[in-house]
Amino acid sequence: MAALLGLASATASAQQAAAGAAPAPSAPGAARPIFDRVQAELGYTYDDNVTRGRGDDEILWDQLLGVRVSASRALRINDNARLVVTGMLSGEKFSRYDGLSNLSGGLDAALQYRQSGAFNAITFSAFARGWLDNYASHLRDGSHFSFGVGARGALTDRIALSGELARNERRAQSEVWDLVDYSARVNLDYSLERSGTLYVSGEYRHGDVVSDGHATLVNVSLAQVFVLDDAFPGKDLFAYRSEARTWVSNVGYNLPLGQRSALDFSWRRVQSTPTAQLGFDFQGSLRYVVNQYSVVLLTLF
Amino acid sequence: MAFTRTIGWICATAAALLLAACGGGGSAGDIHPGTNPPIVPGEPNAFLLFPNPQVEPDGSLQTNTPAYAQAYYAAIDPNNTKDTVSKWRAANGFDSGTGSQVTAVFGDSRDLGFGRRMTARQNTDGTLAFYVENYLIKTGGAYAFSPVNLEAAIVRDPNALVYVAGVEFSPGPAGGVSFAKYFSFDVATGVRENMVDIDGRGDKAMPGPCITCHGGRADALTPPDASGNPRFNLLLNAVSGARGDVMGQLPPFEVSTFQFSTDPGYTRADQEPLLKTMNRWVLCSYPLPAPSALPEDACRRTASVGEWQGTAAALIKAAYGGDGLPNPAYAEPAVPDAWATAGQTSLYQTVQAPACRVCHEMRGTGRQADIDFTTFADFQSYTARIFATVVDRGDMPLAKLVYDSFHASSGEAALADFLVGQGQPARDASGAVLRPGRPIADPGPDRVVRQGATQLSASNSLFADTYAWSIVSGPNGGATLTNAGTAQPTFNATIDGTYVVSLVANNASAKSAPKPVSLVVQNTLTPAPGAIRFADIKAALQDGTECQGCHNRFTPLKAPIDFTNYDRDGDGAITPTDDAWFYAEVRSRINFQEIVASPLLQKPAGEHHFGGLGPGFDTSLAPGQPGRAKYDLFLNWALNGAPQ
Repeated sequence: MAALLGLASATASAQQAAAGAAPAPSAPGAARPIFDRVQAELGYTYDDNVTRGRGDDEILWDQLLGVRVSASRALRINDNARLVVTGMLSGEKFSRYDGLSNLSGGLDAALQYRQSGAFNAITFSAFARGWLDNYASHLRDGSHFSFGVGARGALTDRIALSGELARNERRAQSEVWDLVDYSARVNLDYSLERSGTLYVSGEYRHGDVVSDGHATLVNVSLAQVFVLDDAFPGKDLFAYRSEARTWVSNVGYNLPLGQRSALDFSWRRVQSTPTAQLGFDFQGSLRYVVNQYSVVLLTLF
Repeated sequence: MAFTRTIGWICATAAALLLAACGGGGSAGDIHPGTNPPIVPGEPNAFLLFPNPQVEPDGSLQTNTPAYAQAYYAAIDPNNTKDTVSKWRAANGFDSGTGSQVTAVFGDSRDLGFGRRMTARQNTDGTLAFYVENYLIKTGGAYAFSPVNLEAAIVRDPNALVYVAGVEFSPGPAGGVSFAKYFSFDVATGVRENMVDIDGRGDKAMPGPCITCHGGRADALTPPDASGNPRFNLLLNAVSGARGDVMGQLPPFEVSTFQFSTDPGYTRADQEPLLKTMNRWVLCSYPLPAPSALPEDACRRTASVGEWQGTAAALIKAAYGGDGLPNPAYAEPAVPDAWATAGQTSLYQTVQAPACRVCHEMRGTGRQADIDFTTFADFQSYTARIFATVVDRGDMPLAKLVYDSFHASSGEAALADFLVGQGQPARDASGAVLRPGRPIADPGPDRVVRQGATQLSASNSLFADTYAWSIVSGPNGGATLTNAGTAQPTFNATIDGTYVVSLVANNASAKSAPKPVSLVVQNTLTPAPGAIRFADIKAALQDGTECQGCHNRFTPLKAPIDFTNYDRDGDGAITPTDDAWFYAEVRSRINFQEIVASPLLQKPAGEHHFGGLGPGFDTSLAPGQPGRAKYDLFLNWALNGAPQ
């Protein structure tokens, strides 16, 4: 679903490492494996507004199963810098609206810099990410590309703070999903030690969003481009691209299951309000709100 | 080694990311609000233009120029007292508290696709005015009505307001009988507009986009007045006697073709009484051809034989239950007896009612009403013209939305079957319905010429850009063709006789059927075709009483044009200016886009002419025969550009 609207991943828990996240060191003299870290996720998500609809008659819910596998390798550049390359494959299978089901694959390359090994040293990064997307809905097929900068550091032995500024771009078969936005995200992790990690994040996005709805004056007036959405056959819903201010909040709990697995629970809320003004009086709400509830099993190999 | 591997990883990663950034380009179903529907090159695009748009020597269409609109407004509003929407509304009493005023909101789903907010008023002196806000969400896709246009009209979305029109039924500047006048105003400034784009297919000059369907005429402008500006024509059969009376009408509100909202206050039930009031007022504007004691007719003036006979009154009455208009709501009337008894109910329901009626019922006069198609016989009498305009030219139906709907409906096949039954080739060899847009060769009509060089022209051909001419038959060695691969070859005959020349017209994707033209070479022809001037035409028109017996302003027949010499500009003397004026009026009756369809040729040849067949105009005879000498004279003058 994240790919559907160009928002952050529905499974924010992906940001959370499984318990014991440090990759196992190679034995001296042994050949280094290709990947330093391989992580698999299997998750369930309930989404109360997969259409990102504004009106009651435009909101449809669904639930999905998601699988995600990522493998990364760190390449040392010098004592303070390294390049971390992560390959990702993911798939989402929706229950009611199969047009949203998708397979994606991509790469994340992050150039990380840390001035020292001190506990409170901040890790700075510059990253670029790219995905190729294949949806059951042909209109959404295409790619994502993001680049930006980030920073992560520990405030105390229990609290870690990270942030990211990014430019996100998406290209698709339909111009409706040709999206560009700019985002700023802050994430706070609170360690409960052996009991896991609580985390909360907030993100602001300014740029294009897609919202499905009927052919109404409001929807058309707000839209830059729209198309009859092939993901909701028989619903007579159009997908509208418009510029919006979007707030994304995420609250989660990461429960360790042994040394290499974890279970992640999260609630993600998205609220998006168009920047365009209507030329006429309108009594309803122009914003859409999405709530996603997820449970994800994460395992490190 | 490690460094090399690192560089390799970086390059591979960069390549993968770049690949991921590819894609996009848009799908065929993408719709961009605010854009006009695309105009496909080579497709018919003569919508909202008159079939005879008055082609000027430079190729421009006079009825579609700003000068035409300026002359029109100068005629109906010489002192510019209505040159802004606020002045126009004030002049017509809007929101003055006097008279009666109603507002209806509906979707014009059949004709123009707008959501319409129409405020109509009847003043205490009986004059009428209609202020119309037209809302359209431009989606760039197919040109069609959308319910969002109706929504926009309800909420008065300024971003969707594309066209503001004012129509009034009132006396001219000098008073007298009321007639319909048409105004368009800029949606942003309120200033009166000369040009208006109401279907997303480019600007068209007022009042053309209105009166092409509202029964108006498209006569050419006449010579300049003292200010140097050309004057709008004066129709002698207009009862008002006012320049600027184009004899346009107020069409009925065909409520059954409208769409309505489900919002409270805007439902069909809410709008019906308002629209019935408007239809009552519209009915008042219709002349009454026979005395009536019915209350709804009390406001109607007596019709003159030279004008439209209020034909559409029957539709309004039938739609509301007949005389007295007893029914509160509009209902599509039953098929008229004149169609039903001819066994043409289906043709009426699939062709005439949805695609022809709204415009044709506004046309015709008391002397020649067959163009109103109120009977199947009327419709049938126009078979050849229907084939030419609907199947070949694509300028009928004349509104884009109606045109598209017609060709997507069962009416297209029904009309083709009718035309085939009348001997017109409306289907191809495989039985498929022919549509406009295919190349049509038109070498011009059969004619008589002299020996020597005669320039032929393929300019009346359609949807074609290359041409191939050939001599098919004729006296052996008697003629040659030069530049036979061009639009304007030269036929050079040295021996009298009848030659048949063929034209094939092509475009990038198709080739037309060959179209023959007979050229009768008579070296004794007088005057020579290239020497014919207006003086020759005038002499023919004024030869005896055959033409000018009816076509003069003193007869009760009320023909639209006077073929006698008189003081046209009213300066007290018959001068060369009057002759130039006369010339403009006669030239106006030549359709340079389709010479054979010129009223100047068709009418005296007995086609849809109250006066029937005139002597010298018998087109059943071969060119050069004495019985069609005047036709040949007029035809050769027109083919030569109708020089003065």
